[in-house]
Amino acid sequence: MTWFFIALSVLTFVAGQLLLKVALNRQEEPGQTGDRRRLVRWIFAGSILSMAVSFFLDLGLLQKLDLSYLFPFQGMSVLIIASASVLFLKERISASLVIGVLFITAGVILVSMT
Amino acid sequence: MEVSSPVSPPPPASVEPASGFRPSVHPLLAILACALTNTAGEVFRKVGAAETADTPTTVQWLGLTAMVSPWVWGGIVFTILSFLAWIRAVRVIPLSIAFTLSNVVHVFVPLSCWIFLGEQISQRRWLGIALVVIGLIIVAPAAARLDSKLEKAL
Repeated sequence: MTWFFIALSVLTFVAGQLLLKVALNRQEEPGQTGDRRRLVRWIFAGSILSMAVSFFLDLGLLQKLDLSYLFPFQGMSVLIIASASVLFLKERISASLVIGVLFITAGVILVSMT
Repeated sequence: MEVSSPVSPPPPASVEPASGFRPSVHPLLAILACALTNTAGEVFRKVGAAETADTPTTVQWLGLTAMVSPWVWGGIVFTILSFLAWIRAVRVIPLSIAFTLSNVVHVFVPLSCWIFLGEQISQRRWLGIALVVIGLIIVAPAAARLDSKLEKAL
């Protein structure tokens, strides 16, 4: 269960950051209709909610685990961004991406065994 | 911690503005400040969480009980400062370089855990951390590019 919550904490953090940037980008677009402004507000709200969930999950995890154990899992945010790009944007998987993700995954697995 | 921005030439190290605003901070100093305040934020939150760990709660996995600790609030302040330092840095240096350099936080945090929190960090954990840092440095350019693409596509 612990690893589920660690994964969820990283996932909600990445989602929150991405939604925030999407909302900021859309806000800058010219010709805003009422519907669009409403959508941007919903995206902002989603971003804040997601980051709040991540924050509180992280606090809960910190109540149970060492910080030096928990912190390296933040490297998994790169894995999430890479997976989302490959799945949704059909991005090509470059060699540096694969090698880097392998290193990060190996590192995280090692840490999780301590 | 990633904000896309166009690359512009870094400002001169010392600027005397006529308007009386603060002179520009060197972007590398901003990255260092970001990493240090981020580390402080994490350590403060850990202290606050550890203090409140035994408080009974119905919702086990959300650290709501930790919010009563002033350490946690201090940690939030440091995290906000870290974010502001990051914004300043990525205005003048490319995102992938900023991201690569900011990985120094993965050394600062465990060191701080050992020095200030008394955490025992085994060789295996240090090795795991080292592998994560190497991996992050390798993917930095690709990750920065994919992050901007995802943000534009949504």
